[in-house]
Amino acid sequence: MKSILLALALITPAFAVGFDTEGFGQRLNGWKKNRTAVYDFTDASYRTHMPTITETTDGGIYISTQVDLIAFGDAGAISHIDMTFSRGGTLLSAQLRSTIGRKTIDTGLVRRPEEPVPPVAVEGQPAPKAMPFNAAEELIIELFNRYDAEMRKVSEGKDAEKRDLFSRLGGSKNAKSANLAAGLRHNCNLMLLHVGGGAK
Amino acid sequence: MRFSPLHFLLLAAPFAYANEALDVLEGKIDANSIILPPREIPEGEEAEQERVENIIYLPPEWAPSPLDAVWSRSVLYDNSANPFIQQFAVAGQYDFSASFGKAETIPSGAIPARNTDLDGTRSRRARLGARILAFNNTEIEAMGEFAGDTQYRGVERLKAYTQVSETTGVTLGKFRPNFGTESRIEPSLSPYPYRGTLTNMVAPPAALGVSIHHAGETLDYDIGWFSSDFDPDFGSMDRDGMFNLSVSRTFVERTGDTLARTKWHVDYLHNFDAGRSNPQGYDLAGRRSANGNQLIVQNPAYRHLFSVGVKMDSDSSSFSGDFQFAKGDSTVWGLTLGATHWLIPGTLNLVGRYQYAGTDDPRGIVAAPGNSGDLRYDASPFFAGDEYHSFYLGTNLHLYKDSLLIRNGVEYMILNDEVGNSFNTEAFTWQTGAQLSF
Repeated sequence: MKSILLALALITPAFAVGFDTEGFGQRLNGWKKNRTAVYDFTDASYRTHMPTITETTDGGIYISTQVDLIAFGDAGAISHIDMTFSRGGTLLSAQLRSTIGRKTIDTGLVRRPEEPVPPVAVEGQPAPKAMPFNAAEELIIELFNRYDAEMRKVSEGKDAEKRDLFSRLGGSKNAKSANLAAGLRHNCNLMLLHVGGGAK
Repeated sequence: MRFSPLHFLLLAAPFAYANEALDVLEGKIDANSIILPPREIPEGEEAEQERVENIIYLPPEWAPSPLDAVWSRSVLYDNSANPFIQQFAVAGQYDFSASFGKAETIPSGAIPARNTDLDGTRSRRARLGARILAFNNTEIEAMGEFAGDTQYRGVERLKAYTQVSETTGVTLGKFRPNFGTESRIEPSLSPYPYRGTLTNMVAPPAALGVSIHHAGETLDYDIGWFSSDFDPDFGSMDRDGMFNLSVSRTFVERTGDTLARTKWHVDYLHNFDAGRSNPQGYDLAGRRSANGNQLIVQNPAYRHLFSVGVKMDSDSSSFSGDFQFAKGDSTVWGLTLGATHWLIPGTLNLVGRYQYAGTDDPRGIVAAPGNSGDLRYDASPFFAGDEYHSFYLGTNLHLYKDSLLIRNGVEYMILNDEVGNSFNTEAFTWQTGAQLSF
């Protein structure tokens, strides 16, 4: 019994995909003692917390990162980026959630898209070019399309937020004027760069 | 072509769905792939039932501000796990105001013209106290007033509100009875420099008492008993006191994109000790008015007080209306209409208020325009008449949320004396002030 288990353990490949937390932190001004990184991105200040990494049942990893938009020392908008990778390092799904004041934006879980069926060549016509397809890129594009749509829904209503004089003069960006989506995209791209092991 | 469960489903569609259920239980087909038929609507039911929406109005939030870190220090203790005290915070208010203007008494017959200077500055309110959340169901508020003279300075409030059940609560201590729209608004949150003339004249300030609050299905009820003995600290509870009944209704309406919350109230106050008590707290007996040198023989005493009013709040504006009626030695009535509108949301608020008061008794209305406003605080100079109109228009500049603001406004007052000797008075004042609260 024991030998069979040992054999199985040897046959099953070791945990193949990993996340380079140190490298990720380096790109964001370095991790501080309280496990956060504070940096500026397009005239707004952000704070990224050290990501939580959990192994999934099929040998892949699930990474969850919290990104705060800083306004006057406090978190103006709190966002979470969740990504799931396969054992080979392929991005399987992603989700974005943001809480801005009382409102919440949730893109829902976006799964890896299927590769499109290549167009059929017709006799007599030049062979159609197969469009390059990067599943991870398509996933991220779909994720942010949904995020922008949700953000539009939330901002469509009248601007019901009250800002006193000091808040207006203080010049800190709130979630609307800062390009929050760009800040989150920056974090997503860096997370994808620092996932190691296997093709994307 | 490979047969999938869906094909079988389509072929078997005319037959009973029980077969599908059996297949799902046996694991032959996936439960999610079954398309259920539309719900059969029994006879008599509406084809499209209206879903009752329970709309909640949430007032707009304040955006983060640079002084948040300073103001949050007012909460000295905050621990929801403590079974005795969950939160302890200091609270206070400092209100400084200045007024510039004068009142003109129009000559009539043998009565000469008289001008009264209304210039002045004063610390209108200087309060310090604490707010405690205790025993997971009780809110204790204590506030001491340090401005004004001996009749005004003292314990402004000391009350405890305990939530006995989900719908019922009890308030005990020294607090303001429910009377009128303005008495329900915390002074630090009021858009106007002071309460209306009629409210200041008839509504009793904080008194020792007990009140039970019950939130019903649509109506909210408050029943209370208060002492009729005014004292800056704690009055006695010897006499019969005052009975207070209040019924209110709050509802939320949607007009297009915007939500508005409306609260109607009906208040009744019965003073069993009218004539031998002075719950209003101010003392004008034996003094003379500034407009016609009229002598006030005795302080107004009211047995029945009645108020019906409304307060509407929406994102950028608010409206309040209040009709008050008081009957005792004399009968007075009046109407107050107020409106506010954010010119710059959160920063500049435009406020306006119109007041009317009338009586059938000469000198039945006593007003203190300019800086004073509150007869209890400082009733000099005061004016007497029987028909009162006042128009206030101003702006409030909010430096830090609701806690630091600068008020500026102009007020035009008309006080006529039709029944008496015609001491008609007009006053025009510019009022400015600053308020700090925490």
